[in-house]
Amino acid sequence: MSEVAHEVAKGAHGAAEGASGGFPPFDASLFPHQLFWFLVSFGALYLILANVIIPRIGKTLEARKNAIESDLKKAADETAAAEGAKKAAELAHHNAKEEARATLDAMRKELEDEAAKAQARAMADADEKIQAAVTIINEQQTKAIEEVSESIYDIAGDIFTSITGKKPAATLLKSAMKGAN
Amino acid sequence: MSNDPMHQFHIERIIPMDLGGVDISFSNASAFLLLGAAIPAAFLLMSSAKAAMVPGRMQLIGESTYKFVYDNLYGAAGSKGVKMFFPLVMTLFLFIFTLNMVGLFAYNFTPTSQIIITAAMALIVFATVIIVGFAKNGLKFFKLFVPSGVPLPLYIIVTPIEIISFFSRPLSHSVRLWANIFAGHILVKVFAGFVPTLLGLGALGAIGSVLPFAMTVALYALETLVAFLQAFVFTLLTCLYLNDALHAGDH
Amino acid sequence: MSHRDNNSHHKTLEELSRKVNAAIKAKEPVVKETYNNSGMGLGMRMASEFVSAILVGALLGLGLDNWLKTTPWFLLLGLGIGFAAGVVNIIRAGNEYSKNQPLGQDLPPEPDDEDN
Repeated sequence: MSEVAHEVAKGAHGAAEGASGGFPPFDASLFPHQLFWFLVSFGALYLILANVIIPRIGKTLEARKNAIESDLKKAADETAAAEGAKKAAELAHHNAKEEARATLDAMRKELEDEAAKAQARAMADADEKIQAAVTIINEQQTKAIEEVSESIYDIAGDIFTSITGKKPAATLLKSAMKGAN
Repeated sequence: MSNDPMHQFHIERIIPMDLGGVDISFSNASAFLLLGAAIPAAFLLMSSAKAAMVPGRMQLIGESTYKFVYDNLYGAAGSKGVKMFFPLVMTLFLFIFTLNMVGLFAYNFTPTSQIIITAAMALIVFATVIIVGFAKNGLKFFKLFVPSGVPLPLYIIVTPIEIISFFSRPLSHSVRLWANIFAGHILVKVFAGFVPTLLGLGALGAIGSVLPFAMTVALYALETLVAFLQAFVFTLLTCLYLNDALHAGDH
Repeated sequence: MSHRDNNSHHKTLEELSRKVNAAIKAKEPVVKETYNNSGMGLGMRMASEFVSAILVGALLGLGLDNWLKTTPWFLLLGLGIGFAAGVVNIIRAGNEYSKNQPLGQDLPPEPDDEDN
């Protein structure tokens, strides 16, 4: 490797070296020891990087990447769980509201029914009473009429007696009243 | 400190060393190369040590750097690319960026202003592409030079173009980084050098020195951007090239 | 539970789920800006790729000329093909830029070992 580098560098720049004399960058006599120390330091750096530093930093970065990823995943999961809890709470809230409304409706209906029943009963009661009253009135009326017609017979009989001096026959009177009616 | 803008690229051997005839002296360049590895390594080791679930500022910077490089590599080469090349791309980015930034401070040496260093990095990428390309695709890797959907006679032209395009990659890859840092440093040095020169010319010069001073400040801001941008561009192109290595046989 | 109370609970829960959703959304991948927001970077890239393609073409040509003693024919040919390759490079860089691919989507930070 070093030989190749040496030869190529010399070949490529041999002309320049000859022309400028002591131009240090092209002074081939200074090449070997530079090359040697270059290979020593470059090789050392390579070995340290390849065997110690790169694996070490790689491991650190990998560990961090994993930690961040798992943290993020956890955060996302927990947020999702919180969202779920919120949804559940909202659902429960909604259900409770529905239930309350249903209970309220049922209660209202019951009350309404009861009220309607009470009204109906009251109405029936009133009807009965009215009926009873009407019956009584009718009875009274009939009775009154009968009483009146009886007294009318008496009066008519009295009148007949006073006119004729005789007691009229009941049947005659009755038919006469009917004719008048 | 010399006023010569080239001075900042000079290499001083501090401890001469030799390994089987090859010069491996410890120089100022060696020192800054080691810094370029030590600073990011130390910083990341410390910042990632706690591995806290909620990161502190240091840890956050470390992790952001990781993610930044990761995202770029993933975007260009997919998960396969990340699996195979992440350490390499990460090393390139941190190394180049640190070297560029450290080099911005006065008196500091900047290894990325040395063509040999940028070439070495570009060639590491180039070699990785070729090796992985053949390992993953076998001979299908050559499909890179024979794009489908081209009329047969045109391959005479297309194939050489593709080959040159492919081989121009390490060159542009390395020269771009090097030239940016090198030119930027020279520019800053030249303008900064005007300041003391003008100051030495008396009252009028002192007033005149405000201009290059402001220019130097502006250039420093620009160079900071370039230091990052070039590290980024180098890394990004590396990702694109590595993607070819994985998917050369697909099209 | 009074009505008012219920309402305020409602609100906090809503707010909470909004917050949680926002947090989850914030975690989702964001389509990022494309890489090459800076025109400077793109320009630099195109220029260097154009030049280096020509350079590589010329170098290959020079090498062939040296080998086959055909100076300067392969150099000229190499320059020509290098120029064409440079244009291809620029077109490619432009395509990559305008593809506007959403780079860097937020993906698992650890390379997965499943697919191979």
